[in-house]
Amino acid sequence: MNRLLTITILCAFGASCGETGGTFVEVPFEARGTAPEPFTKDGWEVTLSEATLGFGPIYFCATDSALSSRCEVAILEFLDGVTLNGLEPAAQTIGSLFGTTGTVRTAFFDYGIVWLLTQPLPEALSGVPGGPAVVRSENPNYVPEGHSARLSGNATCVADQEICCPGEATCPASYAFEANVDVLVVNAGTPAVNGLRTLQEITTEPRTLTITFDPTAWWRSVDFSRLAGLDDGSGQVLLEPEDPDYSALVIAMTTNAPPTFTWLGSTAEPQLVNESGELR
Amino acid sequence: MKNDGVMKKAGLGCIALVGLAAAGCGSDGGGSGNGNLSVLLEAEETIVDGLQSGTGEENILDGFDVEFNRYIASFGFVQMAQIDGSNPQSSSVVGIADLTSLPTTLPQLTAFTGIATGQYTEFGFETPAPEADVVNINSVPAEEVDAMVANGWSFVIEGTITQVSDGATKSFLIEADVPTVYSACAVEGLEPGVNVSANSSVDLTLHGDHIFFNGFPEEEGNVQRLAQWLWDVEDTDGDDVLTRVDFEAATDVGSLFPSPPQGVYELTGGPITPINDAWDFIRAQLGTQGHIFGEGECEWSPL
Repeated sequence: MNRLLTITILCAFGASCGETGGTFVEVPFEARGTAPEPFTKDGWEVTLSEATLGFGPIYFCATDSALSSRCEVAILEFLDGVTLNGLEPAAQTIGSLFGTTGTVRTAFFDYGIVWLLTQPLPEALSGVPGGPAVVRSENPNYVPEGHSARLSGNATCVADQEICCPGEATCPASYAFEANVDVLVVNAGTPAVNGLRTLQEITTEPRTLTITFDPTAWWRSVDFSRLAGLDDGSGQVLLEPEDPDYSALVIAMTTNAPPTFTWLGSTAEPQLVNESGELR
Repeated sequence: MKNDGVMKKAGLGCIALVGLAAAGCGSDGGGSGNGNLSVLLEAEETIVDGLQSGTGEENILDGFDVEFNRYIASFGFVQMAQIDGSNPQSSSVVGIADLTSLPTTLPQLTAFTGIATGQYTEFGFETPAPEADVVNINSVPAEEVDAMVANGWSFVIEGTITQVSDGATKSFLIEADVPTVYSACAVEGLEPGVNVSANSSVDLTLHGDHIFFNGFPEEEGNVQRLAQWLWDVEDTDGDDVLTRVDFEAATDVGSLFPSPPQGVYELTGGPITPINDAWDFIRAQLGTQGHIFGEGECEWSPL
């Protein structure tokens, strides 16, 4: 795609699509988790006990498009990897976003594993769980190491066995579950999460960005009855990549329950912009 | 943007273009100038010829053939503008066509006549819910048109999937509202939009293979076409046809669309979030299949 096309697309429909050569800005960047509220699904009461997350890098773009190729230059970016506690609601410092003034409309990011166009394999960044490390996911014996998420919790049957384990002769009263998730991409040069919408006019006014994760939400799409069937009597279940619920977690992390963004100005009032990029 | 570490900490240099978003600007084909643009409808060969199992770039990789018996779609609301939003043109025409049986000479949806010549850098169209005044492009049966109008369907897609290993088949019927707004259409390597001269045309092209894509990729060259998910959807109501009720019941998205490393699906970045079932996936993929001139990409709106 040529440059003119990209510029045209970035500006399409936008009365104010950012100014040429904006002013340099630095935006403090922090994370919050979400306290693990128990939830009940299919007769199972589920509580998370650990959600150690790998995160970064992240790019904020002016384009509406979910195609990262249409964001050749980011407005703001954070290029490092960090480890976060996804169950800790208190603010956790990530660092600073660097960039320029302009209108942010979308975010693209990875969960700590990056596959550069210039590299043959994905790599877990320094700073994320188990990083830095080459992720040899092409190896048939590859076992995810939880560079993106190390999740664990407990499920307890609080309904009739027929509800918790339909059609099964036996059913554990409870079991502990664990998932070490590496969020990978199919093609090099693409982020794991594309075009997550977040509208914000970036000015020189002091401002902070908070990204909030809710790992419990990721588990709401998991089939705990199916997981119970994986319990070999030890009371422990480890999700493997071939388990559909491992994919369900990845889909939740990247698509169905991604983190949310909160931009706060110095007055602690969020500054929002409408679809035209105008402050409202 | 590429994750190749070359992103610069510099401001986005944007030329302030006011897009074609302004509703009501321009007119239904009228203008002042010597330019004429005919807007034609085109079907990708995957719609006409189906998709075949195989290992080629355009093949379904996991052992299925797919044929479409009907691929009825609603097109319309073509909009375009020159640079800086000048000479905006729009058409309120909406047409329905069965893309499996378009004539060899591509049919015209609408036309702009007597407009300014030159490059219209913004070009887009929609796949809207048709209304009673919809134009029947190629003799779609009246009952089909009436059903689409009554239900707000942009698409009626009927087909068959065949498991090559044993020849077993399943039928599917997709009747879907997918009111996508396509914008910023461009052919790679050319100026964005369309060029209007005294006698010019643009093809609006729908691709029939997107519901078999493994995600919402940057480039179709990186895509993999897979159909196991469709085969795995259960006929919950026992009517021998996979329909919306069956697709909505297919909620085990981790099983249907396995993520790397086990699978190759990436569901991020599509026009629908969340994707909770196969119906969401179908609608999301249908909302990405609009192109111009065959392979020219357009931006799609969220659904």
